[in-house]
Amino acid sequence: MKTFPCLLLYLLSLLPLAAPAQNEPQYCRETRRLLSLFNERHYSPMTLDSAATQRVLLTYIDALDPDRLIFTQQDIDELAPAWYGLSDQVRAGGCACLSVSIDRYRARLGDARQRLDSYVQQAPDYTQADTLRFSMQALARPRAADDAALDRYWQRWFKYKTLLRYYYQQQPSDTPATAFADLEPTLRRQALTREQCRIDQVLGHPMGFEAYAASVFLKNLSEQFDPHSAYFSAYEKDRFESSLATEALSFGIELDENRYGDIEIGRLTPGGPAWRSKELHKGDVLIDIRLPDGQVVELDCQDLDAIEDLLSRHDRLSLTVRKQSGRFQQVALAREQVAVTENIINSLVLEGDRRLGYIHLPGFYTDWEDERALGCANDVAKELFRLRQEGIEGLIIDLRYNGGGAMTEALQLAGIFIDEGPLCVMQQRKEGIRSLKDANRGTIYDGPMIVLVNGLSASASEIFAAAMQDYRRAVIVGTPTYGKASGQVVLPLTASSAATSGFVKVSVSRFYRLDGSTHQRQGVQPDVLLPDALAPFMPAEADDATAFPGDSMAGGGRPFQPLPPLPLDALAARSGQRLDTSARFGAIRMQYEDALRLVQTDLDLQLAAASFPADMQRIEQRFRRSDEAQTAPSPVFTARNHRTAAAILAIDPLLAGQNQSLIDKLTRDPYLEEACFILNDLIVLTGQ
Amino acid sequence: MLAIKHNPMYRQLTCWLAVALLVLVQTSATAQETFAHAGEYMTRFSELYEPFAADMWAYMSASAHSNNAQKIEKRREELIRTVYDIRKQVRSQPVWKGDAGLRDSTASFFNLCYFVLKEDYARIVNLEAIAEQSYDLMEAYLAAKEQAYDQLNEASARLQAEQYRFADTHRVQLVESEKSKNAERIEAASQVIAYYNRVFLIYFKAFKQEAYLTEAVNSGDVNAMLQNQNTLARLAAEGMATLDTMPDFAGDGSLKEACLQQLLFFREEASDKAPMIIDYFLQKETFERIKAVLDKKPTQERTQEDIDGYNAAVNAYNAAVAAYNSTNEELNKSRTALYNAWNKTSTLFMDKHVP
Repeated sequence: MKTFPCLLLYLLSLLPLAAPAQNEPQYCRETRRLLSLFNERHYSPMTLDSAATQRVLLTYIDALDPDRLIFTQQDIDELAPAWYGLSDQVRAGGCACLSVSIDRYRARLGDARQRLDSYVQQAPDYTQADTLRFSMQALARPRAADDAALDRYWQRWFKYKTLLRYYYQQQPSDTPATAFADLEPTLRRQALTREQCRIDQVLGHPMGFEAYAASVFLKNLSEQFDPHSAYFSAYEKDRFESSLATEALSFGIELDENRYGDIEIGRLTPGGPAWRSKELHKGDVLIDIRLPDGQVVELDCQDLDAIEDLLSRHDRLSLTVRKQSGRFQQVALAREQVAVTENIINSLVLEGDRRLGYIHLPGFYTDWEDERALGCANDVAKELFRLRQEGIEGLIIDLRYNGGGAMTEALQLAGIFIDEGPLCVMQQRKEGIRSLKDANRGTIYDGPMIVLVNGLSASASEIFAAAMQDYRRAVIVGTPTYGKASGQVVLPLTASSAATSGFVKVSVSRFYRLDGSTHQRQGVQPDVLLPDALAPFMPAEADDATAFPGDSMAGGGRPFQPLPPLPLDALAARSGQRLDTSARFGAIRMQYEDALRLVQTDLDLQLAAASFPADMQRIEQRFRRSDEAQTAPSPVFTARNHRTAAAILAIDPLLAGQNQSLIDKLTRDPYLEEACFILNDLIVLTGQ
Repeated sequence: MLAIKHNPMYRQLTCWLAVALLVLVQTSATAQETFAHAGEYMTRFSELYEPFAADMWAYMSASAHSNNAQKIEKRREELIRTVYDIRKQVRSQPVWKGDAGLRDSTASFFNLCYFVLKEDYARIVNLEAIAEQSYDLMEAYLAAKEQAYDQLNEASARLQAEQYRFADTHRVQLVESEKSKNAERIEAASQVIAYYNRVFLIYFKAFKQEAYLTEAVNSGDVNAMLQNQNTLARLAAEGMATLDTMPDFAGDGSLKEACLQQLLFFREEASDKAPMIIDYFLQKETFERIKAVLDKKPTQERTQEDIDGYNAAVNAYNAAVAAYNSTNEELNKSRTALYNAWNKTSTLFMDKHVP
């Protein structure tokens, strides 16, 4: 009996571990469920050891504070002990580490707000030699060690923001230059307001501050498994669904955040209500929104998401905008059905030495809600049939900037060009290895073919391009693709359909090519490589430390019957000769070199009124040249629509206008011109 | 879509061919006393084939001459039961002076035979690997079956070799006895079935392909329509070329002719009729797009060119609808007639040539 009190004490001490506390915050429950779901379903689950926990903490802080203006290194050192044993904490039904971090975040945002207030009173010292270094390399500048260092960061940041406003305001050179000193107080106040808004938006987030900060953590935690795993809060899901439901009904405007952080009109949907009003234009800055009940919502302190949310919830409203002339204007709009741009104009007949077909596929779309729905492969098949009727001798499939979509559509599309057989191999953690095959025996087009790709052709685009390359069915032309060879599923975090529960996207499978190799990380390598001026700026799978490795499949590849070899060496040699004498590609190569230097070299901006505009101008000049080099129309081919499209365009002037813009753009596209040359060579060399 | 008539004969393939070889070999004890027991031992095994042959023939005969599916299935179940019993009996036999070769290879053969008759191919071959390499479930099924029968034939060959080895080792002289009545019938029927199966497979491949085309039309999937149309034309042409190289069976060219008529139909369907069906879907889409554009235009803004364009689309669509309907009607009519002709010819062919 003597041991009883001790035993009781021991049992009581176990209780909090055995049963999660009743008032456990929702984000703790979601964290527990997320980890359990990822451990169960993810292709390569992560062990949350001390190194991983440290990484989770650091990347979380970076996600909350990407400009490193909120937290100091001291904050991180103080928070770190709370994060020890993260997985044990979560399993036991708590997440104190997260609670203390969120509390610290709130406090530090408050500090930053106070710091900003102090800048209203006093102008920074512009005479002091200050430099802001911009690096496009992975290493960001170190965090401020303590509050004093953080204050110095802020001073410099603030000078930069004020000078930037000055630079852009002075840009239209037809207005006489105003001295920086005269404008500084106003510009500083504007910059200050913008920064305060950013802080206020976080503190007063529509989800609630805690829920927002926790959702950033859950997103970040998901991304630690791999870059394509993700978390969506119930709030985001709700917004996404309401945007889908209202997709057909719209005011016909697309919004963008401009360089000052203002919200402006980025695009008007042709034929939509805003377009027809003839009073709104691209670049107009939104000032306020007047709702039908008379309420006026000022937009000074609203972010893009919040404004889009507001627009989606009202059928009628009035927008006040500031025109580029500085004039204010109020425009009343009513939401209505806006025609979805069909893909009819994305297939063209190119007339040159030979008649060639061109199909541009912007994404592998399908109806995600209906398994039996017909997606983009069916549309491509129809376009191809119509192009065949035009008597094309070769085909170009353009997958540049195609970031992927439905895997089934990629396989269906590949099936159009391949008789039968496996197209790629899918590996899952529990289900093992399986070939993914052509669903339909037979082909629709078996003539010469080119697939045009670039660094932003990703995922399903890469599966398609790799299958075409493996079967020697098409010549891949362009730059190496993105390098994503994994598949994801979206799952609810809880089995119940609780409206407050979030969703996760989990990477459950990896894809391999038929020979057992992979395009993961390295991308699909083109058979004929073309220089791309923007390549150094393009993101790639290999940039991400948590991306799956670019390994080969265990057990080798799968048997398949490739077609006879294509004359790839000869095609590449001929293309190389053309490029060497091409002024356009000469310019592109130069821009590429510049861009590469730009990426590899850190940029030092002197934060002084005298030198800043010249420095900025020099940086912008480097990018501007890339547009000028591509403005001349090609002498090699002209583009037109096939007969069916022409019949529709004849009665639809709006669509006809869009179509003409596309034709104008494509006939000035040096890559398409070179693709035509290569396709002609292919036809000649293979005697097809 | 019509369903293909279930023909159990098709499933026989070469199973009995393997066993038929065995019944040709009868053991006979020589006069020498010392070998008498080994001969008797072998005879005991050979006796087990008789009930097997009897039940096999009953099943084959019913399949060839009867239209009563229940009766055919009953015969199959009896055969499976018999094989099960034989397998049990074989396993209960003692080894002969430490030599288990004959018993074990006989047991192995009947074991395989049992699973083949039950169509339990997973017990014999790697179904996952076969499915991985096959285009569809039907192709996987046919491949699994073919591999299972290959294994059965190999087991039969091993058993035969084992019989000779056993006889040689234990000094038993083997004498070929006269074929039993059932063995003769089975041998004759096997030749008919082998011929039938060759023709049937040509027909069946194209038949299955046509089913895919019909499925694509039913779901409005133009991608699948175009691909399956292309493949149907190819399979019909390949089938006709193969038929051309095949002789008649015992002077009877009816089965080949029935198959040829089917293939001609499939060829016409793929090359002449399917384009009209596909055109209907494309005209429908064009019409709907033009109508949507015009519907959005206020009446006062519509030009004569708009009206003309719309009318042209309506006319093209109406013509496509009419062609679609008449093509489908024509196809259904021909399909039914040819299908019936094929079934009738198959039945008559079997009835005529299977004893």
